[in-house]
Amino acid sequence: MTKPHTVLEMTRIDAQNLHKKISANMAKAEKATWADVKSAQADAKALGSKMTTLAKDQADTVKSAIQTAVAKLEAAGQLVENKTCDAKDDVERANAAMLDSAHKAAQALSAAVAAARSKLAQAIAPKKVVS
Amino acid sequence: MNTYVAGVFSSEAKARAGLRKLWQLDEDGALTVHGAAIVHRDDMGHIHMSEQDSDVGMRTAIGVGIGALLGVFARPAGVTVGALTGAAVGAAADAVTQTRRAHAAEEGFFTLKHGQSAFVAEISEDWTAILDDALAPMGGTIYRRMNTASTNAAFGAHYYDSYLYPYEMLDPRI
Repeated sequence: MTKPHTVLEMTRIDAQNLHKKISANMAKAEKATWADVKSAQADAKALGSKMTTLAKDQADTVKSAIQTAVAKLEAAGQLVENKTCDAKDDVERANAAMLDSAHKAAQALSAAVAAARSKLAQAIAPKKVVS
Repeated sequence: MNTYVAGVFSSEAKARAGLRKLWQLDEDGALTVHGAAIVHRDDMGHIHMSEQDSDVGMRTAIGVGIGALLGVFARPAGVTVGALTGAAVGAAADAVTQTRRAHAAEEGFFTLKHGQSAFVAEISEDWTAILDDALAPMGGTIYRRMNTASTNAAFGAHYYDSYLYPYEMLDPRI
């Protein structure tokens, strides 16, 4: 059974995919380039934008986690190439920051998804009969 | 409230099948997986954690942290499902190694016997029967522990980032 995904669930999948993409970039090691970083940064920017919109409808604790993750995504997305240092180190540093931000985003979104699912589960749970 | 859950199986293949089932339940919306990983105890008693070669970020703090992770499931709060009975509760993980970098790590207590594997995960579930019923046909033993401040304190500040994947990690050998 595959159920239709909500916008929240789809955004969570985006965060998971971003994490995979950055991990793949890191796996390239010396062959990873700043172009790879910029591609991930573009995805992170889009993800951050979606999360900002979604945060508005969340409970306070979830909202706070999402906002923190968005801030990390934005910070990692603003890293720029430092041509004065070793290119490999520069890319590695940027990828590490990106991965951390993607992980935080995935965590925050899975918490939001869990809260939404729990709310739904409680709504459809059988009620006790009061005699 | 989130729950840490471990599914202990007689082989790594079964543990991976259990993990696949866990993520399928997530995809179906029956529960939510926040992060998960596979651990294996070899015939020498050493604990290995499966990882993706690519995931450098996951390896950074694995040495000390894994001992705490295994320690989370130390106490016999397990529910036996299928054929296996409660396994070696309280047995000391006498050494902890990581797949490629042999870290000396804190000793932990875990329910893995030599040769067994487990998936470990942090999940949110509204009914425990959903996971128990889904895994029952596969055999194995499920352990649960509530995610509390004191539990998490054992992991350190960055425990989650270090060894639980936020999506299904494919077998690195495939």
